[in-house]
Amino acid sequence: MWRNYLKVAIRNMLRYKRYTFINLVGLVLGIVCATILYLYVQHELSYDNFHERKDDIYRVITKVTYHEADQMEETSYSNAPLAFTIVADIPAVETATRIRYAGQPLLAYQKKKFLQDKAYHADSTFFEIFDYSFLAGNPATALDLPKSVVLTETEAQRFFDTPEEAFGKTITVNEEPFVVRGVIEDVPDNAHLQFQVLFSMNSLSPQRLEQLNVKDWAALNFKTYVLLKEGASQKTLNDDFRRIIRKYAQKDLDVYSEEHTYSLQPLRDIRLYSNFAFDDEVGTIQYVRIFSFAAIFILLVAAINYVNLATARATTRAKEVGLRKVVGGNRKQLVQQFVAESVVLIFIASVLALLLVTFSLPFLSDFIGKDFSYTYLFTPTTLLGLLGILLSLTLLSSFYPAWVLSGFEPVKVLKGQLLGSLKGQKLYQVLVVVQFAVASFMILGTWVVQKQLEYISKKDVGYERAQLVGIPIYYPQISEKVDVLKQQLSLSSHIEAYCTTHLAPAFASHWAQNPFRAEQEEGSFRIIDAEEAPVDYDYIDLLQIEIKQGRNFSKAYKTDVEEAVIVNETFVEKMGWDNPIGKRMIRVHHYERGDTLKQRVVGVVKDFHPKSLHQAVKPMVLRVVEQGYMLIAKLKKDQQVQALRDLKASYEALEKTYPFDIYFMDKEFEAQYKADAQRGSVFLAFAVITIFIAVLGLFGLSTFTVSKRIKEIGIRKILGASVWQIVQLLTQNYLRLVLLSFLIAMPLAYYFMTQWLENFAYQTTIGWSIFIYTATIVITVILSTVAYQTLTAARSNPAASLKYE
Amino acid sequence: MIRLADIKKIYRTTEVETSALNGVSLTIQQGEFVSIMGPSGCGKSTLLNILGLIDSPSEGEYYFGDLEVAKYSESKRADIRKGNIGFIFQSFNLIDELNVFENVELALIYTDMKSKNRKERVMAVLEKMNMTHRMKHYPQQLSGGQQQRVAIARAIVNRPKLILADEPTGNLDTKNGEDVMQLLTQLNEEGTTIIMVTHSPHDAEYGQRIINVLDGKIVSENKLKAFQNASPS
Repeated sequence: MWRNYLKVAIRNMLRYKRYTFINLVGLVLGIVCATILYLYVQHELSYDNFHERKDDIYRVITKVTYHEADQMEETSYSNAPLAFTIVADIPAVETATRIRYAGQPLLAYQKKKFLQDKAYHADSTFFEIFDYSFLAGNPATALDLPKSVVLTETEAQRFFDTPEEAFGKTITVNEEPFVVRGVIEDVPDNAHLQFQVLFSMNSLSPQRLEQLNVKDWAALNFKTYVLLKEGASQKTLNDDFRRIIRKYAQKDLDVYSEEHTYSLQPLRDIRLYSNFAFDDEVGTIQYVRIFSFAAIFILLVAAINYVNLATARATTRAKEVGLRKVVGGNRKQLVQQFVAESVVLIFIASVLALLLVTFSLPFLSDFIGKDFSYTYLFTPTTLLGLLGILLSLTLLSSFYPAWVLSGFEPVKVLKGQLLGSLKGQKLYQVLVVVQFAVASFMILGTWVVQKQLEYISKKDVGYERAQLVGIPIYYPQISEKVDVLKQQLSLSSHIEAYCTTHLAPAFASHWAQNPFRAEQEEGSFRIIDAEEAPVDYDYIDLLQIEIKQGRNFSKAYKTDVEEAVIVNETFVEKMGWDNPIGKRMIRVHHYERGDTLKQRVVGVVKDFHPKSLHQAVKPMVLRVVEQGYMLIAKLKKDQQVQALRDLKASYEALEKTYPFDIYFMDKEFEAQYKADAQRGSVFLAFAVITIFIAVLGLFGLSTFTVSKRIKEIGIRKILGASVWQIVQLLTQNYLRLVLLSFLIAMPLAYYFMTQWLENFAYQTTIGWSIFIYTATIVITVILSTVAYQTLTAARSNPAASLKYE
Repeated sequence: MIRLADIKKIYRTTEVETSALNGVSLTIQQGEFVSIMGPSGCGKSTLLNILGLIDSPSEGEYYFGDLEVAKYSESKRADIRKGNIGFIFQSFNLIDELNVFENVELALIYTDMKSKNRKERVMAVLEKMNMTHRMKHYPQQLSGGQQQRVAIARAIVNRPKLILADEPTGNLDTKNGEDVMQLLTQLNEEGTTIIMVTHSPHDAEYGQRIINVLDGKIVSENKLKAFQNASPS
């Protein structure tokens, strides 16, 4: 019996090539897209699941309330003493570890030296919590001693041939000797913490520890990870945290007039749900949801094509059904037969889709911004997921048509009295509305994404970035000779201007957020939290930042170095100042040390955006320093090559150890939105594919409708209908359906895209034009899809249509 | 009114070429009632379709009045059809989704007649066909004879000069068939030119002339009654 089903299925596919083609293309595209999206989502959901005790690992989140400033922030940073305190004081905590980003150290061994920007300091307990396979060394002791370093395999291979060879060797880190006490396998790409090098925390020098305020419970400079004892619940820890704050932290917090509370973020949530202050990482859960829905949508649209075409064609197969019933087939057997047919089709589509995915995986994974290898495609979980996709596709697409087809009554069918076509009318209309609602929704969504990306790239960020490059100059030799460097650069005719700063917008920003004690309009003081950026005298001019009030820093005022600050508009607004110039302020930290309120506001700059537009501008304080961690240079137009050569030569004349490193500011600026832009184009691609599949289905459906109405068309033409009237007749129904689907998609798209825009501190408006354009596009696409058959039918000789009788 | 000269019609598919009409020449006067007879597949329906301007000849000349229409495009032919020609088919060709009234009205909708006038016209013609009591019914709910009466109503509602009937009694019993033939005769007496394809010698005799077609050619012509031009063209 199954052989007969299979035979009929294949014959039918071959006989109705156009429908088979339409169905196959739709299904293949649907399965390819769903597979890729599934891989993406699965990868996102798999973050950090390779640690054995992943469910017991948490990260400490500190919630900071700045009382007087009326601000609140959550951050994944915590203070230095917390880790040890909770291990000692809270029984449920098994152990804890701290990490801190180590900047961009220079690693060297013999003649080889490399800058490494994925380096961290970590406590010796790091490997008790996190599982990494050691290729050499002992995880229990690798980070115990000062000046210890653990390298990943890739990093070790830059200096040594084998992990064993690396083990025990002394390399230099920023010219200090460190011993390699461990080599681990590379960190998997689905780990939220990506590092190549770990230094033992106790390698930090006493001066550096002092700088990091390691005894201050209010200074948040470390990330703390906690391993809870098995079976312990994080919820019970809140009381312990409150007790610890009362016992240890309160004194320090009072100084800054801050309130802190701690909470634990599960390890598995870090990748998906993080959105904390001072962090680059933004949770991806939104994209996981969006892409999951996109996958479901695309499959749904492809399944609807199948349902609609199969049901529409039902009448042509009615006779077969009637005959099968007459010779003794029951309904169950017929359902089986028709389900078998769709299974065959879906199976063929899956094989084609899988081949397509396999061959285009490098391209596709690049496109969605992942690094999928073939091994990733053929893991049991992935294959199981794919099977799930196929099963749901089969369920979605096969049962309804099978039910309709198998329901024909033999007597009526064989007598030619078939009214079944009317029964399916309502459903196909609903399904077409669903398809185009989905497609319109995706187009609208894509449009808003693109509009926002364009808005960001065109928005005035308050500074000029063209022709600007940045060069790190915080290395020991050069940082002492910045004056000499500047003098050298003044001699180059290819460099227009330059400055040094700790704050280079869009990249390497060595700034701190600090509380300030600032004078209010009426003379009292309050504490305000602000970003503090040390810059030099030329910074504001070079970046063309607009001065709204007062003046720039100037060497003419001897006191500027010690006393002058320039604040931004947000600072002024937060303070509620009417006359900002001359207001006194000082960092709370320095005030506590006994300093007077010696700093005075000399100028107000227009708000500028040193970070991405995801974040709102914060209150900002600029103060003047002679030095700086970064050199920013403006290259003369069309003289870039010479200018860069001059820069490199000047740098290398002064800094012998650390290699010359350069950032182009406009590139760095764009890089901030790379992930957005990439997701935007992924979404665009899937939207286009969705509408393509829907249109394909509509094409098949309209072909069928036209052929079914061919007699009616003939009669109407004989009675005098013009071509245009026939076209109207055949298209108005589709137009009605599409308009309805647009009405459904519009509010949904508006709602969800408004939500999405909330991710950005600065948002474009959605506006009516998007809806009008999208509607125009969709209607044009629909009309041109049905136009061909419709026009052909309308133009043909009426006699030809009546011959079908 | 109509003159055909050496009309040929060839159907081509990828595999075969079929010649349906093979040099037909024919003249029909205004007000005539002409019957066309012949066995199945002889080309009589094709001839009727070409006469009715719903199909185009492959070769030859066709004068409809003073116009040579053989090479006209479908849209131009549609213009001539509108208001000039009415069709009656063996299988009635009513639209299933429309009721009796709407089916008849359809022929007027494509002229620019006002709704009120249309309604009057449709009511008048349904009255004449004795179908007013069924005007809300759908084609499936009617007997064959009733369906054909609706089809005739639709064919004449425009008051065409020419009615083409393709085996109008083919699907009807004797009684209903007789009624239809009476109606056609009455229309002819009122001045409408009628060209009818039929298998039935009995029906053919309602005409003034019988044209016999075989293998795409006119093989003979019998004049039954003297034709008097009822209304000058």
